[in-house]
Amino acid sequence: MIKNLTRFLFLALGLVIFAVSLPLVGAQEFSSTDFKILDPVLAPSGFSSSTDFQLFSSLAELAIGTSTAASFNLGAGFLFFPQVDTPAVSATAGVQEVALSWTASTGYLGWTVSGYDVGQATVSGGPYTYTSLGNVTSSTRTGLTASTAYYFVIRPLDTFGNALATSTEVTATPTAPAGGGGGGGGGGSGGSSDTSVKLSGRAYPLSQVTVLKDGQIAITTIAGPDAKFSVTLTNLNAGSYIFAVYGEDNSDRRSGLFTFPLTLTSGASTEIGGIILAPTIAIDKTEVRRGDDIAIFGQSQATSTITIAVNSEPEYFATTTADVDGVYLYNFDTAILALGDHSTKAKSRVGNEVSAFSPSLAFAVGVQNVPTPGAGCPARADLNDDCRVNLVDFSIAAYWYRRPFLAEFAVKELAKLNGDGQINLVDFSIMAYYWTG
Amino acid sequence: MAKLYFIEEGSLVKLLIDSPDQKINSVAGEIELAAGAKFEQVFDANSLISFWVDKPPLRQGSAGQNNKIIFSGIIPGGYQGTGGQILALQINSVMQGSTLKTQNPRSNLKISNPQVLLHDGLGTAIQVETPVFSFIPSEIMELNDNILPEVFRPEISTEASVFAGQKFLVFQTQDKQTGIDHYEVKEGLWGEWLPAESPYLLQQQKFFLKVAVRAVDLAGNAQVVTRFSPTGVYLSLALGAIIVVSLCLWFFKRKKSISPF
Repeated sequence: MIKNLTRFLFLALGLVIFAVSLPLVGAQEFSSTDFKILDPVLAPSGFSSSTDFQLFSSLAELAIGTSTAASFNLGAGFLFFPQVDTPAVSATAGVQEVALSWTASTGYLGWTVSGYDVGQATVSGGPYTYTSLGNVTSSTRTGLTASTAYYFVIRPLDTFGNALATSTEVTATPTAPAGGGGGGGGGGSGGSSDTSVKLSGRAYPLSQVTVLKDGQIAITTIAGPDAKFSVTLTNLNAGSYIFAVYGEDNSDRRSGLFTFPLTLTSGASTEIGGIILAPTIAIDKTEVRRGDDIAIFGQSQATSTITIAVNSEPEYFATTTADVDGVYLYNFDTAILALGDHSTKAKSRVGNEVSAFSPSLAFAVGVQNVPTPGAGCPARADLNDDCRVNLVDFSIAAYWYRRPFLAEFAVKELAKLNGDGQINLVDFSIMAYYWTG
Repeated sequence: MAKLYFIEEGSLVKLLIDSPDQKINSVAGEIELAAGAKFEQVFDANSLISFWVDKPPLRQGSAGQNNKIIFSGIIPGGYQGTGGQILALQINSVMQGSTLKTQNPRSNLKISNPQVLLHDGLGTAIQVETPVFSFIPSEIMELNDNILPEVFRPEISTEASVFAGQKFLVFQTQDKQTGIDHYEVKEGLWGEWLPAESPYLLQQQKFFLKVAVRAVDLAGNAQVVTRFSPTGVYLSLALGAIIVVSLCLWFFKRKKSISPF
């Protein structure tokens, strides 16, 4: 009995000594009308620039998979949302050089991208040698060995130089100078001397993926069950293009356009890798009675983590997980939203790869529930009602540009464009937003 | 905030756009050139703009009346980045040859009424910075272009609110060297090439076999594409079948007539 009591006292004493020795400092609590974060753990470190407190190292865990622990995943939480979308990267081989370009990463909730690292290796998967590039979205790596395959990744950095994400690896094989002997290897596809571009990435399981070249449909393909797709466009001319990719999910909903401006070099093969299509998104009501749920749903990659943002004041975030077919559904309780107009958007994450946000969908919180009309067609800009927005719609709008409307077109302009009784650049901008090719 | 600005590259002055933080999809403005120089040619090849609303006049002579070029257009899907090319300009001094170099006449380019709209589904305008560009016009260099405009696919469509519901043709392509100068359309087998703009009201509304569209670039290279009407396709197939059957019958008959049995 006395022995047990002694043990207990020693244990208690040990706990007190341990607690006292912890380097915790006074934490600032966060509160709003909807939530409270009590006693957040803060400790001295060199990470934050605040004069009042410094953030603990938990910010290092930005996404599932960055931890080395095999026994746990870092789940969504307060510190989980600050992330950036993963850049897609293009690589074009030149004479003893490779030209790289990539999409700008966007940070959320005040998280800003301040620069990029390029990682370079001669073995797929690395180890990479990193070079800091500053806040640019292109770089030409020179002094490379001809006919040797090089592998590159791009890492967006925060203001402290921390890597926030890592792109998919792309590869290119530099050629030898003309007349210098050795055959110009030409990385990858078939050794053709054609000017070509290969686009690859993730859409949705077994979804149709459409590639636009300068706004017009160039090719369509079907993604695999793992949502991965890869297409090659050949016989292109050298010059500057805007390639765009979108996917159509299992309910014919279209994703937003993922665009990539690119200058092609004559005779060179260019690879654009790491295209991650944002989830498709739909809502079940255009107006929801305050306090009722609004269903936010769509498709993404299988078992991906979906972050749903509801644009309000403040902005609300929620996460859910897509099922094995990539389908997700989240019932958002509108009790916390003020009466008025709101919008929602979604992005997905698989491993370390994060998509950009989907286009926003508008809804109102009011006094009644109004179901969303049939989905599938673009909400606006489809002037000939064929569920597409393309050159035909552009030509119809161009026909009425600077002309007085007939009553028939006035109705369309009101319903499908900005409704100001004239065709101007704003109407064409709306068209460019809903463009399907 | 976006920035529309000029840079000099070889004998060309390029109009570029920066929008590093926001995705934009529409650009418009008026390029004004100070007296003492004139627009020689305008190139829309390699432009970010896929569809022109106000297409700048490209051709020599017609480019830049009153030393002003009006342009507007859209980028489907939007653009976010720096150094995106809108137009390339060939500008000549009104003084020629050696006078050009000795007198060192600087000229100014500026953009008035700039408009850049966000890719937000609403066409929200953002602020645009447009610095004045001062430069010395360089001598005009001949641009080589022997590559045809890209292959394209015209579409035949109808819409109640356009051309009173009659059939019309839409078309658009790109030329990555000098840019598309103009289009021409030819209807039927023996029609003539007529200058055309999209949308183009078809003359043959009730019945046509084929319609061809010719896209001509600034260097005169032409890409011709043809669309056959479904009736035309069936008619051609039927005609082909009749010819083949007739030939077979004739051949079979001839063989029979020369056979000794």
